[in-house]
Amino acid sequence: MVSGPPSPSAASPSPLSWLARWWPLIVLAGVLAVGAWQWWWNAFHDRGYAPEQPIAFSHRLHAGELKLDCRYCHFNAERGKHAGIPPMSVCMGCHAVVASDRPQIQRLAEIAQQGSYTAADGTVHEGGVVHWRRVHRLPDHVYFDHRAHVAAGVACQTCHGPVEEMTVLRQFADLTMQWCLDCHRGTRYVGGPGTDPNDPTTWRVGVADYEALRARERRDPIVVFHERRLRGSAAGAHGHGEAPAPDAAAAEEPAAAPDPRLAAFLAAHPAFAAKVRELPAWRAAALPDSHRLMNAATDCSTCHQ
Amino acid sequence: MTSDTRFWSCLDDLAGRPAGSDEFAPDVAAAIAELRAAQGLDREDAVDAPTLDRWRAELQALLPGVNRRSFLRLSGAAAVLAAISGCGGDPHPDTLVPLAAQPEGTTLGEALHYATVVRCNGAPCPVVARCYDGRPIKLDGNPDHPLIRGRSDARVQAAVLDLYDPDRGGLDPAAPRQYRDGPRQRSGGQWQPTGWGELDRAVGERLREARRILWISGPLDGPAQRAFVELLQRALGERLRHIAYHPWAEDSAVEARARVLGERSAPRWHLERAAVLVTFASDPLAHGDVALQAAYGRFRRGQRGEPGQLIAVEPVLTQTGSCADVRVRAAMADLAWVAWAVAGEIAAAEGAALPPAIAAALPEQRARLAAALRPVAQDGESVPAVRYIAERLLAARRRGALALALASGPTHSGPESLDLHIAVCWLNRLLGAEGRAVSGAPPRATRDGLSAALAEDWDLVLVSHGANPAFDLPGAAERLRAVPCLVSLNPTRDETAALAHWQAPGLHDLESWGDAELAPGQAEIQQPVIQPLWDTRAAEESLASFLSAAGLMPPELASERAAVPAQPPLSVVSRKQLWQASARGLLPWRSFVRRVWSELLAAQGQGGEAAWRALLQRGFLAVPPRAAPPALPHAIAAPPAPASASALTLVCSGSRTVGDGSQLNNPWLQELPDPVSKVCWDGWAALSPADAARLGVADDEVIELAVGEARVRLPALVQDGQHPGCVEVFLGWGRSAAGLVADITAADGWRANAYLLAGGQRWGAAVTVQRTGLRYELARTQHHHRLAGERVARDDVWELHQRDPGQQRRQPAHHAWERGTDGRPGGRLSIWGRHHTYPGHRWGMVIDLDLCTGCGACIVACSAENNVPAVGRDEVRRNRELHWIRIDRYYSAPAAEAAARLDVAVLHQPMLCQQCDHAPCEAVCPANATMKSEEGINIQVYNRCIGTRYCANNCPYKVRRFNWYQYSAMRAGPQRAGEPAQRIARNLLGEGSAIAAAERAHAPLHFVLNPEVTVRHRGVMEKCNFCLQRQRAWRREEVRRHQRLPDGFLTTACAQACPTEAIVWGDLNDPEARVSALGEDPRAYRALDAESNTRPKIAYLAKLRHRPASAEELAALRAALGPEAAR
Repeated sequence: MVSGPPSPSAASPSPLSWLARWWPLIVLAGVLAVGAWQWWWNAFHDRGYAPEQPIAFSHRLHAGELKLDCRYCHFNAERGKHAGIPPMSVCMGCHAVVASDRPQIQRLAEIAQQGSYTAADGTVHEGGVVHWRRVHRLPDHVYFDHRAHVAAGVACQTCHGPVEEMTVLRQFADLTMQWCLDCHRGTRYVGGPGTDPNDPTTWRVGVADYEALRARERRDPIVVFHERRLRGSAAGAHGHGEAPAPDAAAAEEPAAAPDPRLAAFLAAHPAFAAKVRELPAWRAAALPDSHRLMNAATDCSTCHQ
Repeated sequence: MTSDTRFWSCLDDLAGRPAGSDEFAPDVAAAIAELRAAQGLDREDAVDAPTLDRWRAELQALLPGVNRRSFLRLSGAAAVLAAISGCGGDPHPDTLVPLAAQPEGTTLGEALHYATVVRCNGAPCPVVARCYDGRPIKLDGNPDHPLIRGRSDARVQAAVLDLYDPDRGGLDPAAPRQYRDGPRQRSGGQWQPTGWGELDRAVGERLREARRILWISGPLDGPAQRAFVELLQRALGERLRHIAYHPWAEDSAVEARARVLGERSAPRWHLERAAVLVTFASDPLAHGDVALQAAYGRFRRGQRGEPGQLIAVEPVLTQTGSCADVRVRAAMADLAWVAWAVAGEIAAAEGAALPPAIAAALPEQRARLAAALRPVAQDGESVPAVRYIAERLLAARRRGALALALASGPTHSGPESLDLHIAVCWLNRLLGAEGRAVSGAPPRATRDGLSAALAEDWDLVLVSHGANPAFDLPGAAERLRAVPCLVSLNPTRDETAALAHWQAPGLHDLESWGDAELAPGQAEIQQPVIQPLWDTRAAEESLASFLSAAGLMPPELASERAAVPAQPPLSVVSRKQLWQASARGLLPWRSFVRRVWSELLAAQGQGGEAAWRALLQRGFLAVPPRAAPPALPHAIAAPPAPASASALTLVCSGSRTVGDGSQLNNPWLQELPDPVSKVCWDGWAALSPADAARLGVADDEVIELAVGEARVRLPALVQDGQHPGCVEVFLGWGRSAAGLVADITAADGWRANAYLLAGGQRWGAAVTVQRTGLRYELARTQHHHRLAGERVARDDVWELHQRDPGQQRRQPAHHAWERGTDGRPGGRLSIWGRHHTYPGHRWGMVIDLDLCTGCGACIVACSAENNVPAVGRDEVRRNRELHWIRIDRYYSAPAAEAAARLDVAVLHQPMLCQQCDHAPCEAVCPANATMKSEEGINIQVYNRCIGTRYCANNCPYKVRRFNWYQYSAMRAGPQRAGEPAQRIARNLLGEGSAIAAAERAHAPLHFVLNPEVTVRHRGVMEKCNFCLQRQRAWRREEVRRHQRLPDGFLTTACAQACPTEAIVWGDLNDPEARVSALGEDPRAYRALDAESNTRPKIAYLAKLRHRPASAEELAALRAALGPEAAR
């Protein structure tokens, strides 16, 4: 047989045969690409980071079930740029009495009393405070101010996620610059577009379409609390102890009328009950739900410094 | 200034050589290499081949298998690996540590301000400390204090870094986390740690038995401090002698006032009340306290529209002389006769008398001075300098203003200056300034008193409150070595503590209670702003404890014995339990201070907790002034006629940057360039250009000074403006036990201690200069960042400015910009199609060159506020200083006299980012890392910066700084000692230096960082941003209040610190703001604007020289305005 010129089919192999020949490389490239994407994503997005804490503190219990105001513990958030970890005095303000039979609370009390403790890795921590693992972290060059955001009415959950459902706290947002800009693209501020330099009322920091953002987010106890108070004062009443406005959001909230648990608590803690009685009537009535865990060791100034 | 005036900042300028600031300019590099080779000093660059091979081999051993290419490959891989390892595992390994209980009134991350007092150069300065989370990070003058008015100076600004000095804790770089703080005992030449109890027992025993006890302290002038001294004096009776000592104490001024006025008082100068000021080789701007520097600002602003006139008579170029309108060069020995000659003219005019001895000798001396002093040119004729000065003083008298003569400072503290002080005192009395522009205050300290006391024998010597005679008093070290028991209570381990038998470390001012009396009738309270960092206790508590152990405790110091708390306070860094007075039945020092002040308050009808708190908040209190003790007036003898010796004499001046030496371990002050010579990190010997030419000495040559028996070696500097026949050296340098920063700087420097030269004689000692042939490169900054093109620092003569205020506006507009248009008034060409508009704020600054004294307070304030690290001497030599603001110093002289460099006028110009509207840096950044903020600030985005340094090359003002190393992790820049191979490996591995490694471990230096400002990483560019964090605070507050804030609500760190308020910062969009009004001043001009069209937002106000105009200048004015207008 005489060897002729190569057949056309051999000269231009079908795409499939090319695939048959190179498929391992293509798969490898695909795997690598996916891996690289994963790596890239993980390298710069710490979303979901949930380290084990030295004390198994549950936000789900405190913020979710007990409906403690976020700012009861993180009271610094509306006053400074850091939200702050609550001082031990705030923890022990309640836990000197509350749940003092639980092992975790006993460990907490032990740390507070002894002034130092040995962590799981053998490090000795001083100062009589818990050294918590940090969950949220912004790069050093980022200036973030909690106060401004709380003042603008941004809910805690907008950035921190449904904390009230987290038994172990995890990072909710990826905290990238893009994520910041998602909100701040529409920002109006002094000197920015849409502001009149001569009219201070137009100087605002906040997202332009705040209502839309608010509708998207979960109900934050703080926001609900605030709104209720605002509505109450707008109605000319003495704060939020009054009947809530007919509003779906507010209707979900427990009524401010005597709470059986509060009544039981006051009965069990006569010193605190006396303290509450000393308050002017309107202030006693205005005590928010979150304050029902105050005890004899706690004073207004424990938190409201 | 006429066109034939020469203007130079360094010798290259004068010689017309091109700017050599760019170290990579090939011709400059070649010239440098040639010079280095010629001088044979090339330790690094000119290396022979075998050495180079050896280094390569060593580097191979350290980083095996690495050549240049594989190194780059590896470093790329290392970056990837670092990123991978960074994302695997724990992304945030750090912990959050809450407070045990948050103190009342505090908010995390928000600053609190406390009024307190710090002492620099022995003088108190009432300050407000800004504290974040319990740590002070910045000091500024107390704005409510009538003498301070919020002003401060470089040393006050740097004092906060002294607090965090790791050497106070005896940190060992080799063993981090092992602190050797707390009391120590010297036994057998070794320091052994001991307990407070043992120390008290041992010293108490000595105290009981000693017959003669000497207590040497720093200046103690506060009411509680004085009460404590009296208490101790009562308890120990005749056995104790207390001496308040400072090396700059003005004993001879006190003696002069005693002889002339009959009271033993130290002079307090009230410059602001004077219209004409004559200084005699004195430097109140460099050595005076903050109140005096602030008073200069008011003096210079003047009364009734005429600025104060400053005349300096001096041999060396002082900082004050550099600001003077008329500078008369005179030999140091002639000064007293110059003062008497001026007094003679005034006495003749006013019909007053001089002391007979003076009157007899004056005619001869006057004739001699007329020949010795250069006359002043006035209205086309030469007026003898003495007559010119007398005329100016009399003219002020005639128009009802005050004229003042001034002699003060460390140069004039010794007995050799007595004649000058007497003459000045007499002159001031003739001028009617005594009691009005100068008054007497009880002396704060003495120097001669201690010299005399140390000649006696003592059984026990206690040293406290920063007194360090072993360093700064000649002969003291030998005498103290002979004392049977020496106890140091100083906060630092200084030279005196090194000789002590016991060290009972005291507290830094910011950790301690105390008080001060800045001026008679004005007392300040000092409160601690941080818990003690180390295991230390207040010197007063130590003394009380010694008394208690000796069984001599006065009942006033007893208190109820309090129980030790369950969690006793710990020292912040070393975590040791702090000694507590109350647990031992002793009255704590705090309670003693409070008791004394409660009495003071009660005397004014205030009492109780509220008054005490109000006092702490305010920081000062008006108290009844103390009277100075009287003295018998003395006959005045004539000063000796100066010998006509041609020999060189020594002049010891105080350091203008590191002060008396107590702050020598402070890298911020070490790196602060001297206001006149621009040298940092070293002391030097300054020679007159005439002497240098005669001796053949050039800059940077090491010379040997022989003073009596002593021989010291110092690098020489040829100082423009210095009178021939004198050699100037600086007090404060050359410590042997200041700490690591001073040590590493002294390692290859020259540790000459000027205090010990000539037996403490501050001027007049004969000195011979010998060349050594060695060279030592002083770190000088003036020839760095030189600006080319049109003149950026401008001045004018006051007299001419009156007739032609618009002179600055007629600066040459020689460029095409003016023809272009961009739609704005006076339109100019713009490469930006449309200007940025800044409808909200538009921040700008005005700098008044007439008020700038070049002191450098702004530089240190900027470093403190913006976390600018010191980079070390080697890096400064490489043009790498990191200061965001620098002060350029220019000399000028008529062309005919420029070459001699003897009679020069000086101009100081702060140079910082001009925040140009047309910023040349923005256009060239490939990463968009530098851009305009919406408020007109040229901002630097650090995380975008990739370090190309194009922006720095394109900046016409040379104000951008690059992080060549991780300077922030080092204490004083990278260490360059050792072989290059180790150096390269160490710096690549990020170690920097042994010191840096120790500090990363746990030292407290990072406490000083401002949390509002990013700490920059290696490899990024940085620059002034008008204190962006303060603009943000301003805006946050505006948004919160929903209203515009008034001008002056906040200002930049430099403007806040400036002692003379030369810098004004504010919103150019606010027509009411001072910065807007000053920008319209006829003196205002914008640097390099006409040439480069950069449109800076900083306006400079030209300096006004209050001197007679020269004939050429008058002619130039006539040419410009026409003969009629010029009249």
